[in-house]
Amino acid sequence: MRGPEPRILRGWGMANHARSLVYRPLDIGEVASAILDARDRGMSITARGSGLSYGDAALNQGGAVVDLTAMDRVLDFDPEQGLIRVEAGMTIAQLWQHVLPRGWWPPVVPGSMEVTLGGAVAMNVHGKNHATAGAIGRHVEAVTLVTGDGEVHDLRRGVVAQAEEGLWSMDLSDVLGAQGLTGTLVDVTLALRRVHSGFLEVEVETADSLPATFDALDRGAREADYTVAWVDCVGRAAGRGVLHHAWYLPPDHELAGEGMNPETQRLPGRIAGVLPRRHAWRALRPLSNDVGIRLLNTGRYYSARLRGTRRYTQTHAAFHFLLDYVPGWKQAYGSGGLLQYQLFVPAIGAREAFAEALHEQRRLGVPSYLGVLKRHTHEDGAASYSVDGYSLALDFPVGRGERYSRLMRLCRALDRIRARYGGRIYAAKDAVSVGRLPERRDPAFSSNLVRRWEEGVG
Amino acid sequence: MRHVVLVGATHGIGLALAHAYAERSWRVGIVGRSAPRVQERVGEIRESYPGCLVTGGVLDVTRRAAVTPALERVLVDLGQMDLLVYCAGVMEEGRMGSARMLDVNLLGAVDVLEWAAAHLVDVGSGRLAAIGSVAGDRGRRGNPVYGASKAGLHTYLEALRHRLHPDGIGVSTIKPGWVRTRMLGEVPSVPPSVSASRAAELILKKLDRGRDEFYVPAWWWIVSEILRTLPGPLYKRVAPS
Repeated sequence: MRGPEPRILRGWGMANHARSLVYRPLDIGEVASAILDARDRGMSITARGSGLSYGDAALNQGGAVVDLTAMDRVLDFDPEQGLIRVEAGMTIAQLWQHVLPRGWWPPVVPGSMEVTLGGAVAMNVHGKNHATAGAIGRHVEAVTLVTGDGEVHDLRRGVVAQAEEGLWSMDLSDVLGAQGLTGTLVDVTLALRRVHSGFLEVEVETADSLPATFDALDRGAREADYTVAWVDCVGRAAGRGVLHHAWYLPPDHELAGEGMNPETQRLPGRIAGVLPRRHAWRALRPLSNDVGIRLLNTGRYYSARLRGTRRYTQTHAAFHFLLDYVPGWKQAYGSGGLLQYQLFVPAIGAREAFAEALHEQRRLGVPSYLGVLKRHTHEDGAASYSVDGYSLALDFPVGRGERYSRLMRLCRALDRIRARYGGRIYAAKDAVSVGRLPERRDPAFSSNLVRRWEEGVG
Repeated sequence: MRHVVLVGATHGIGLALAHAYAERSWRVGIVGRSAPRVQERVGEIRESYPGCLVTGGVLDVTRRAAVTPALERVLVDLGQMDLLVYCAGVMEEGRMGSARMLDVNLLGAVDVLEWAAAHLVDVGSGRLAAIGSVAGDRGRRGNPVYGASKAGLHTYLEALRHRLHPDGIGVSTIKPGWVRTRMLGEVPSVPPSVSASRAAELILKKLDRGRDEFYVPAWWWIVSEILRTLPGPLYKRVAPS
């Protein structure tokens, strides 16, 4: 490992940044020495993967950051059982490319494949199959982590690790969703999902109001393997949506055994056959305002609506990784960056809560440029963000001046809605609210987000 | 998620800016010379704007060695810095007073802004600003050293603006006229004087728009422009105090 370097790191939304002393260890021993070195300097420590947390969860102003991305090897893979042990810095992209040719797929994937496995487990991320498959933590069989004293611990599912004196004990639930605050994850053993094809069967339908979108989502959550709704949040028709449901293909499907080569999963180089993918965000830039977004959303809704409910097959990668489809799309939000507010609320009251949320953004004149509705299930684990209910993820440009102040007022209004309906906060997305920190924490670890939540201020 | 550090914010325009930014949901770091006063101000603002992140830092800007550690500490508590406004300023009399004015109004500003510039250059975006004065535009009859300290600050800010332009960092020179703060003492609360909170509102709007140099209120620009273009022999006779 080269010596640690002071660097400015950013949250994925680009609105948050911090200067930290960054260590980039190559193995477990170096993770332990990085942690001990940072502690000798009197610094707190934040573990960081690809830096895809939207806000300030992977930032540590004036402290140390342990960047795990150099640790991205496969340690062990059993292609019969579908069990894989990988280093924490391996990305979901590297993982599926490794296992798909052998007939496996990660059981849970988020909207971007750049996320590392360590980050995914530390935040206990979910995918479009949360209601049926749970978050990624449910599929974790074991992890190795390094605690603040530089000690290495192996935790396996169903086994409580204890120190010799018996004063200390820890199990997997202390790690899942704990933001790395109980220790820095260095490897993860994951139970994979068997797939018979590199393709999914996808159904697209439209819904003309928020209640109809909810109904369609509920049906998808019952019947499909994956389901997600894009929600138009602009204007009078706010709440209408386009739903995507997807199913794994059965072993007797004509596409069984097809598309298992990572090459076939590659996202197309051009969008709609013409626009180079790499530069597509530039085309979005002029549309990144209230009028443009209204046009874009209306166009999106009606183009889906005109084609009616339809079914087609699509690769896993193209279905799951929407956030990677237009690289750099967040730059279309301008220099102030982007804020996502993901409102998680229990199933009872969710329809009312989200109707209120859409109403508030209209009242304050801050429409969300991208709204995504998903069905979730309850998760155990440290300070879980997830409830048996729904989430509405709303993207906004942070903006300047009066616009920024109105957005902050909207966030406070959404906070109140969340509190009233018993909702939760997801650290991987948060930049403006206050959530629950895991009760059990190792004092060596902290972050900008942790300090903010401790203070209790958004 | 916008973060402002206000140096010299326990009184006057700085304090008014702290209120104005907190009201607009910025996260605010207040830096002042006296620890109890900083604590008091932080408490007041937190109470006025519940849920707003307000932090305090203690720094005597004339103690050069204290600048970096104090501001680094503020940065840790605040999380980040998108804007820094240097509001510290004094107006005093006599030889000692002259030295202090140069120390606080000019040298302190240089130390604080150099620290902030180095940080923002690494970040690649952000804005720096300092409160100058209409008194720095042209030599007056009264308090020449105060005017000289502000004129020095203006020139320094202009140079800094040119230096940081390639890095995408903006630098704003704020030139207030008569603002009712303790510095001016008894100023009648009628125009042309404005209250500190009114001045803060105007400053905030202009900084939002990324203006390089502006007067508070804006009409001072005309006055200043006239005074500045008057030929020396004529100005000699009409120079204000």
